[in-house]
Parts: sequence; C-alpha cells; structure tokens
Amino acid sequence: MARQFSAVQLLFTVDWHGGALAVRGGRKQFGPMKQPMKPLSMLGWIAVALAGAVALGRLALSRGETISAAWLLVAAFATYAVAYRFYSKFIAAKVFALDVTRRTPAQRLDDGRDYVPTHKWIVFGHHFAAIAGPGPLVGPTLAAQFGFLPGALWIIVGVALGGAVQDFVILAASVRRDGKSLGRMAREEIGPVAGVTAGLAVLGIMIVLISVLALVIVNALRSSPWGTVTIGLTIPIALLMGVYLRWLRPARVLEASAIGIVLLAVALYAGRAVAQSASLAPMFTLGGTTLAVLVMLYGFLASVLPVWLLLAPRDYLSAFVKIGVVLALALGILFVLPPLQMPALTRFTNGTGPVFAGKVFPFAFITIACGAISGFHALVSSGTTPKLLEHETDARLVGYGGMLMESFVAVMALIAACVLTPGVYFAINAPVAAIGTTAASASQAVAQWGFTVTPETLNALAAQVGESSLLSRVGGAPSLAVGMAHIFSSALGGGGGMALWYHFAIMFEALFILTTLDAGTRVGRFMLQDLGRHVWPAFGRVSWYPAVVIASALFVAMWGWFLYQGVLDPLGGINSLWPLFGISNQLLAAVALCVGTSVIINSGRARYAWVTILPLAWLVVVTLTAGWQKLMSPDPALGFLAKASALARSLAAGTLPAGRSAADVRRMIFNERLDAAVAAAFMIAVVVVLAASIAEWTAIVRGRKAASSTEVPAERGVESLVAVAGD
Amino acid sequence: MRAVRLTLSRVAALLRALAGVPDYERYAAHMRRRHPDAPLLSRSELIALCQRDRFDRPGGKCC
Repeated sequence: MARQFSAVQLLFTVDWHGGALAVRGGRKQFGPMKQPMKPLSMLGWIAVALAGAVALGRLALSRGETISAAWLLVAAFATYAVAYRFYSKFIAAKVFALDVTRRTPAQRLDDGRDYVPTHKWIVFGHHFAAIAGPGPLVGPTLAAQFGFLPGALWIIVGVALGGAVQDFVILAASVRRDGKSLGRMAREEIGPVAGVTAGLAVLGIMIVLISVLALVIVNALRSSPWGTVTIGLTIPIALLMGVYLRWLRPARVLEASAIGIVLLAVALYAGRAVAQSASLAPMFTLGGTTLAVLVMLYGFLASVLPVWLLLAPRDYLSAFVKIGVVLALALGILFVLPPLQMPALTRFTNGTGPVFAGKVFPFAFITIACGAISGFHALVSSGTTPKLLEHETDARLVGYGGMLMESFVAVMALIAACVLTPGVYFAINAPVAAIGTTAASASQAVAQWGFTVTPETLNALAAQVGESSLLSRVGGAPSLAVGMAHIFSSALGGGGGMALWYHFAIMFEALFILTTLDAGTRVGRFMLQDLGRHVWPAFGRVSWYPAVVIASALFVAMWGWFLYQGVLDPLGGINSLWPLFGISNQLLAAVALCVGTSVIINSGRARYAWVTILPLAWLVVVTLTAGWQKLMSPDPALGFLAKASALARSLAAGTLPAGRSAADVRRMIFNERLDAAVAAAFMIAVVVVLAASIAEWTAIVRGRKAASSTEVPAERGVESLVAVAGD
Repeated sequence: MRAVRLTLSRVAALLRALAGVPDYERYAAHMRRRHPDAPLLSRSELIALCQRDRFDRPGGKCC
C-alpha cells in the first residue's frame, strides 16, 4: 500500500536546497536525498578533485624552479569546489538540517529596514563586502617570507575546514536565533563568564587590529608625497559626497558614488603633480610620527562627526572600489598567469626571518588569519547578515561561499607578493635594523640571505613606481602594491604606467584600511560607552557630546599608543604588532568555534560536533603555542619578555642601542611588557571560554545536564507551502 | 528599450544593496501593507537610520 503523506510531511522531506521535491518514507530526520550521483557528474567531480590534487602536489614538490601561478589557482579552485559541493552540503544537511521552508528572522520579523528578506546573491555581495577588509591582503604578503607553500596550503585547506565552517556555523546558528550576536550566543549557549570574556576580548582585539592597520598605512605613506596627497584627498571627497547626499541631491547614493570615484582618479593625478613639484613635494613628505598623529586625528573625527558626513560616504566609495579592484585583480591574474618568483620554502621557516620572528609553525598560521580563518567574521555572521537571509538554506552560499571568496582574495594577495623576486620582496619588507638605509646595504643584506638584488634594481624600481625609496616599507601594503602594479601593467601590455598603478593600489589598500579604522573606532567608542555607563551613567549616553568626545579620545588613545610605539620601533612595529593581532583574531575564532560547538551539542547533534571541534583544536594549539612563544621565548627577537630583559640589561650596562636615549629604552621596555600583558590576557580569555565550554559539553554528553537549545521554534511559511503545493 | 531600463534599474538595485543602502520602495510597500497607520519615514530618514544601525554597533564591518 502506498504511504500517505500530508502536505506538512511533504514539506519536511523537501530536499534542503529547495531542488527536487522527493519523499522518503519512515525517516524523521531532514536531510539531503540519498540520491545516487549521476555517473557523469561523479566523473566530473573526480576530475576536479584530481586536478586539485595534482596542482597541490606540483606546488608542494616544486624546488629550485619558478612555477606558474596557474598551479596555485587550480589548487585553490578545485579545493573550493569540492569543499563547497560536498563538505558544506554535509554541514547544511546533517549538522544543521537547514530547511528551505523554515521561516527566517527576515521573513518573520520583516520590518522593511533591519530584517529584510533579500535575494541570496545580494546578501552574498553584502556579506562579502563586510567581511573582506585589509586582513586577507596583508597577512599572506607577510607570510610570503616563508615561501609561497605554507601560506598557500594554510589558506586553501584552512578555509575549507576552518574559516568557511566557522562563518557558516555562526551564520546558521544566528539565523535560528533571530539574528543574535556572537556575544549573546556565547552567554546563552555557554554561560555568563564566557559571554563577558568574549565581549572584553572583542574590545581588546579591536584596539590591536586598528593600531596595526593604522601602522600599515603610516608605513605606506611615510616620505611619500604622492601617496599622502592621494589618500589625504579621499577625506574631502567623502565630505563632499556627504554634503551632496544631505543637501544637494538627497539619497542619490549611486550618483554621489560615481562622482566620488571620478574624483578619486583626479586625486591620483593630483598626488603625482604634487610629488613632481619641487615646492609642494617637501610639504607633503611626512615622517612616521606626523602621519601617525594625522591618522589618530582622522579616527577621532570619524567617531565624533555624524555618520552621514564622513563614515557613510567613505564606506560607499570603498565598497565599490573594493569589489571593482578585486574583480580586476582576478582578471589580471587569470590573464597574465605570472610565474611565482618566490621559492616554495625559504630558509626563514627556521624562525630567523626579517619580516617577523618565529618559525613556520605556529607563526604562518597566525600571520594569515583572514583568508584562512578569521574570528572577526563571526561578528558579521551574527550581525547584519542573518537578518537578511530569505531562506535559511542560503546560509550555505553566503556563509561558506562568502568565506571561500575571501580566501580567494588572500590567494591573489599571495600571488601578487610572490611575483616579486625574493630580493625585492625582502628589501621592501625587512626593517631598517636588518638591511640598513641604503640600496647598497640592502643589497648586501639580501645577498647574505641567499637572494640577489642589485642596488641599481632597487633604485630603478623605486623610480619606476614614483617613490624616492621602497626600502623597509614594512607592513605588506607597498610590496603588495608593487606586485599588483606589475600584474595590472603586464595585463594591459607593455608594463607601462607602473607609477600610476602602484599608487592606485596603495589608494585601494588605504581605502580598505581606513574604512575598517574609522568604523572600528566608532564602534569601539560605543563599546567603551556601554562599559563605562556601569561606573558613570552619563558616560553611556551616546548623544551627550562630552561623553562622546571623552570616549572617542580614550579609544583613539588606546590604539594610538600602540600605533605611535610601532612607528618609533626600529624593527618597524609590524614585527611585534601583527603577531599580536593574529593571535587575538585567531583566539576570537576559537571563541566563535566554542559557541558553534555548543550550539551543535545543545541541538542534540553531538555526533557531528567534530565539524567545529577539529578546527577549534588546531586553532587552540596554534595560538596558544604562538602566544606562549611570544611571551616566554628566551630569544629576544621572538619573546616580548626576553626582549624587555635584554633592553633592561643594556640600560643597566650603559650600552644603549645606537641613537636611543635612556628614556627611549625605558619606554621600549614598558612596551614589550605591555605587549606581553596583552598577549597573556588574550590567552587567558580563550582558556576561560574553552574551559567553560568543555564543562558544558561534557555535562551534556554525559547526560548530567539536558541539552537545551535556544533555537527559535520552527515555523513554516504559508508562502512556502503554496509554492511547494504548486510544484 | 524597456528591457534596458529594467536591467539598469536591477543593476542599480544590486549596487545599492552591495553598498548597504536600504531599498526604500520595499520598505514603503512593507509599511503600507503591514502598518498603514504608522508614520512613513522619508527616503533620507530611512537611509540615515540604516547608517546609524550600520556604524554604531559591532558586526557591521570587519578586518
């Protein structure tokens, strides 16, 4: 006798991605159909997997010859395709049982502005624009000091098993909880201690993140009148757009953005005109400390001015430039398929690298955070995005797919860094303390590391990109810009216009960074006010100007301190700040994965908890090892405390480093200890969250405590029912 | 010609969505349907409200 199915039962058994409607008798669990794959399609996927494996093998085994970036692209795309088709489908179907008919917060709470059901590709674009910042550009560039292989493997494998899983899991969890934030989920799924710790960790990470990004900008603009003028002009351009949108043509965002983009091009040429003028160029040739103060002033203004005037128009501009340049870079790389000049592995895997200290394990895995896995994304995945999803099944494309896209940006950054010859790469990225201040001393230092670059090449390259010097421009942005300029100018033939392309790339990176910096400062101000109101209620009033000014100044001072010290640091600051940022970002990812695991276990699916526990375990091992080494290593180049002791010894012995006063050295000692304290605080935070989580998990798995999910109960839409019935 | 206009308006809607600009028509339709008595924000007011939402709390932007 044929089974009878009601309409509701039919809905329950719809294939989760909304495709073919099929019926499975007798099973209560929702999931994908156990339909055998068509032989042709299976053959196709085997071919993709094989192509990926061959490409990865080719990358891993290349020694002593340059290989084409095509291998890296094939390895990346094949892995992404297989991971998306199989692993993300598994997570969607088995771990969350995502259900196309289950109403999302956007459907249930639709208010036309915050919760808005939106087409999945638009949410994808929106989510990508929000998660993609300068992180995936800078990290891979710095990690190229180990050679291209460690970075490439971590980006490709890390995203498939870690980063994309994290973004997807947090997004799916938040969609099922009315779009709740990571902090609230931590509190409700793990416990109050974890919630508070996660909140404080976010504030700390914002401080370190903003300071290190500001340092990247300062290093890119130092003694560069062209860059300074171009970037400086983006601020009046944004103000102009703000005024235009407020009074001249209200709400015409696309019109204002088009004008803004044209003006950006004008700013690029204006920068060149200033740099070539004998009288104007010196006025805009600024030192690091001046630039640092200017960046702090900008952050302060962004935080106290109304958003419509500066932040919002700037954000429109950067969103369009970001997407445009990412697409252009992808086309450029595909068209040129440049050879990778960097070897697969350099001698610096042993920890003696000039760009940052530490061995390939664990430091490659914290240097590249965004692009492989980034805890910050968990804030976006539990912020705006879950309130926009039309169907919960869209979380797969948006969460998992969006992160694959970001990973591809990181692959492109890695390629752009590795098209430079190693000699040029190290001359740009090694600090003054390692290569001296002249092209000749840089050439000698590079030769000692086993690479060759002549002083003439270095000078010619600097002249070609319109800069007085490219030496020791640490932070990754300039070497990435040289790589991008190389790709763009080769794609358009002839290799001309390097100077314009270089400054265009710098402008692109600076826009990326400044939008993170200004938005981050403003959010940091709100978080400080929210914390401060417990002590002084008036401080929490977000529209009371004295409180706004004090909180903004306080937050800018916090990241400004690290920035300023980084600028003064003879090792370039990036050396100590970037690892600190990497550790903090990865620890936030660990917190997010703890939340994800708790969500999975609380929903009664503990048997699938390995999906988040696997990347969690790896991250905890990597970050705690890196954190421990940064704290405790006896090597002063690596350990903060060892460095502080070494400085204290030289102070006591009266043998100060060249050009430093006793007061300088005392300040440096304080900073090393401060960095150590920050690293220790992050480590303690993650251990607290992890311990609280494990206690919860074991209690539930052992049956001492009932699994209690905070999911909003399933509700199925009338619209969906009609749609299916009409099928 | 109509097809071109339609495509253009779709591209414009996509670009606005990417930049995080709210869809005013959608909002207005929603308010008229569900809350006909509530005051309707103007286009600029809605944009201003969404900007505040975007920039004044964590989770809007990333590294």
